[in-house]
Amino acid sequence: MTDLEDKLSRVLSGAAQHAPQAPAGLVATVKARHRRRRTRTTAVHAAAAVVLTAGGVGAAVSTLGRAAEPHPVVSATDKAEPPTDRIPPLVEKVWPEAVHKIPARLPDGRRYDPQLLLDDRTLLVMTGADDGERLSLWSYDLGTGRPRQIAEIPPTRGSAISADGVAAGGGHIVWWASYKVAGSPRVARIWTVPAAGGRPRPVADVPLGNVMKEGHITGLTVTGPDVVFAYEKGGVYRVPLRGGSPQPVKGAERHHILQWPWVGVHHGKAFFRELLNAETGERRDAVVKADEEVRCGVLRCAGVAMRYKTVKVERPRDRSGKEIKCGTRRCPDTVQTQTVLRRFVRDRDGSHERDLPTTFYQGDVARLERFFDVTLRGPGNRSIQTLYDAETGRSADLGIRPDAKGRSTVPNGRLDRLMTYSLKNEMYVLDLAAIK
Amino acid sequence: MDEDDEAGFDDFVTTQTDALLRYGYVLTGNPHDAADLLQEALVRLCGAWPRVRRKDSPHSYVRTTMARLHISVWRRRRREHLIGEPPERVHHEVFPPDEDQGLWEELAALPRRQRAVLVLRYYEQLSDAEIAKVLGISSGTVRSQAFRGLNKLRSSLSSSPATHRSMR
Repeated sequence: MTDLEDKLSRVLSGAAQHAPQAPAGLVATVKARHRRRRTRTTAVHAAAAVVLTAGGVGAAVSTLGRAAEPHPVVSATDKAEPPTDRIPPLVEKVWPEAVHKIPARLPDGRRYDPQLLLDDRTLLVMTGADDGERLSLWSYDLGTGRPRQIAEIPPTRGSAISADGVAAGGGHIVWWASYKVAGSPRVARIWTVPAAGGRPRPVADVPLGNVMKEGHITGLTVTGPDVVFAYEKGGVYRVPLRGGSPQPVKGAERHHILQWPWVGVHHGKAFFRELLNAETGERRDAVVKADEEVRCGVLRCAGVAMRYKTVKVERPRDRSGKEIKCGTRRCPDTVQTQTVLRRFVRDRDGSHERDLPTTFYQGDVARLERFFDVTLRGPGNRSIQTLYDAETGRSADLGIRPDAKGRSTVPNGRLDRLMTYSLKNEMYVLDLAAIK
Repeated sequence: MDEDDEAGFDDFVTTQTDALLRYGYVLTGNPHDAADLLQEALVRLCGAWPRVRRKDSPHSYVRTTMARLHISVWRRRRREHLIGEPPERVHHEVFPPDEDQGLWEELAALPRRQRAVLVLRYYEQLSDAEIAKVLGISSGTVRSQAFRGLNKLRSSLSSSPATHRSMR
C-alpha cells in the first residue's frame, strides 16, 4: 500500500468512529415507513381501479432517490413523483449514421469485448475474458458481420493482467500483460501483433515496482516505429516496436498521456490544464479560473464552477427530536457547503463557452471532446442514459434501462470515437466520428 | 413477514445498525445523509426480508443498496440544484487531527462513484471484482475510478501547502 492508501484506510476507519449513533426506535421507524409505503401503494392500486386519478396521493416519504432500486410498485404513483426529464429520441433515430447493431456473440457463440475501431468498418474485439478461455483478438467486419481471428494472446505465467491497454496504429496492435516471477519485481510486458494477423511478439518488459504504490502503465499508443506509454503515477516512456528498452521521453518525466503527442500533469482540480506536445515541445495552457474544477482535452475543457461556504446549521435530530451525536461528542454547528454555480464546456482559450446539462458525468472526459454522458430521470423514476452533443446541443437516448434489480450498465468513458454497450442480444457499436 | 421473519429482521437491525451507520458515514461524509441512507436501505430490506434472508445475505443487500442509492442520490441532487434547491454536497467538520482533516475534506470533493469505490476498497476492504458487483459496473471501471480518485486526492493534497509535508 502507498502512504496515501494507508492513510486513506486510517482516515476512513477513524472517521467511522465519528458516525452518528443509532437513533432510538430505529426498528419501529423503519417498519412504520415500510407499512406506510405498502398501504399507500395498495390504496393507489384500489383507486386506480376505479378512476385513474392517483395524482393526489402523497409523494414518497424518502428524501433519498429511488433510482438505484425502484420499489416494484412505484409505477402507480408516478403522478405524485417529481417531474421527469424530457427524454430525447433513441440514438438510432438521432444519429443513424453512427449506430451499428451487431449480435452480442460471435457466430460460434463466444462472447466478446469490443476494444477499438481499426477503421470505419472494422471493430477489434477480444474473446475469452468472460468464458475463461484463452484470450484472442479478432477483427470484426461491421458490414458483413464476419469475425477473423488475428491472434491468440499468449498466456503469461504468474500473470495478474494478461491483456490490457489494447491499442492500434500503423497496422500494429499492442497491449500489455503484467506478471511477476518470485523474487523479482512485477513487470508489464508489452506485446505486439500485426493487425492483419500473425504471431504476437514481446516488445519490452517494463519494471512496475510496487503496483499498489506506483500503478501499472497506461496510455499505450503506437506512434510511427515506436510505442509510447506512461506510468499511472506519471512519467512517459518510448520504446521501438521492434524491441528494446524503454527510454524516458524528455520533458515528460512526470506527465500523463492525454492523447499522444499531448501529455500533461494533473494540477489539483484542473486536469490537463497545461499540455505539452512531446514531439514538438509546443505548450498549450488552458484558461481556468480560480473557482473552477475542470478536465481538459486537447481542444476544450469541461467542468464546473464551485462556491464553497461555511454556514451554521441546526444540529441533526432523529425522528423523536433527540439530538444525533457524532461519535461521543456533539455534532458541529457549521458545515461547509459546496454549490455548483455553472457546468460548462469551452475551448481551451476560454472562448465558446456553453452550458452543460446538470447531470453530465463529470468524472470522465468527453468522448471526442464533444459527447457527454448524461443520466436523466424517466417515468417511474428510472434512470435513462443519454449522450449529449455539446457541438449541436442534440441528445440521444442510448436505450439503456435499469434491469429488474434497478441496475443500469453505463458504458465506460473513453476519449476516442468508439462507444459500445450490449442490450439483450445486441451489441451497440457507436462510431461517434461518423456524426457530423 | 411471519413471526420468525420479524424476529430475524429486528435482530439484524439491532445488531448491525452501528456498523451500518459507520459505513454510511464514510460513504456520505455526513451524519444526516448517513442516517437517511441507512433508514431508506432498511425500509427496502424490510420489504425484501423473506427473500433476502433465504437467498442473499442481508448484510450485502443493505451495503449494496446503500452504495447504489448514494450514487444515484448524487445524480438527483445535482439536478435539483439547478432549480434552486439547497446546496448539494455538505459535509461536517468533525475531524480533529489536522493531518487527516485534509484528506477527509478532499474525499468530499470526489465524485460519488469514485468515493464509493475508495470506501469499498479501503474501508470495506473489498476486492475490485467484489466492488464491481456491488456497484454494478465493470472491474475495469472500478480500477479506473479508483485510480482517478487516488490521483485526485494525491494531487489535491500535494497542491495544498498545509498538508504537503504529511504526504511524504
